[in-house]
Amino acid sequence: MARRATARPVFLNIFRIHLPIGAVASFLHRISGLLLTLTLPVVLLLLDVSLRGPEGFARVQGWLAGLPARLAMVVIGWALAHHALAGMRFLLMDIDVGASLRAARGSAWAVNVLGAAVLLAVAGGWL
Amino acid sequence: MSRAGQGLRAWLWQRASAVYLVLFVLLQLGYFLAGEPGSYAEWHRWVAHPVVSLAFAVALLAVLVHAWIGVRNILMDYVRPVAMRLLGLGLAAGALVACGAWGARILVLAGLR
Repeated sequence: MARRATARPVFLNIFRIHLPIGAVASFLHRISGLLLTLTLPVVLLLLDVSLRGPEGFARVQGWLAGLPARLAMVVIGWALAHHALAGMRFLLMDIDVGASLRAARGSAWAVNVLGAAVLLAVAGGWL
Repeated sequence: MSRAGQGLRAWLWQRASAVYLVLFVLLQLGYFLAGEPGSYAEWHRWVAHPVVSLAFAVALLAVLVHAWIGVRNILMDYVRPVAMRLLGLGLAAGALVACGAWGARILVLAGLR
């Protein structure tokens, strides 16, 4: 599918495009999903080392207590919460729960806000 | 399977793996938030437990399936040049298979220790 030059105007200033709130929830759902996929090898490494023996377990505890790990966990905590909440919103809409425009906009706001709330809660509790 | 059927199959697998993962993550998070594990012995006893070990194995499979479908969706939506898309799909598939093999090794070795 080749893109041919046309005279049609191009408007790609994302700071001026008015995105529906559902689109924001959806973008963040994809971004958080990608982020979580990238953390899979790290999770496996933690699992691997922590199960090798008491020394490995202590080593992982040390890693997780450090600041970089705690910062990462705040981000991952948000990613997990937003991805799961947005995902459940989609699952419910699949079975026609909350599929009306009004309900969908409300649930999108709820998901985004709850995600931010989890981010703050984890940051507050962890840092 | 018809072309239309393929999309439906992916959609079902994505939903099924998602439901299992929400339950698994909630349970495992509960375990951690309850202050566990206090020591290597407790941690090992948990992961090597026959039922928990199985739950972990299924969770790993669910993550691989779910992540594959998700990454494939992203690549199909945003990467138009065919060669780039195939490269992306190949890398993702390879990485996920490697993670699966690694995870299986971790669980088997933990069970044997």
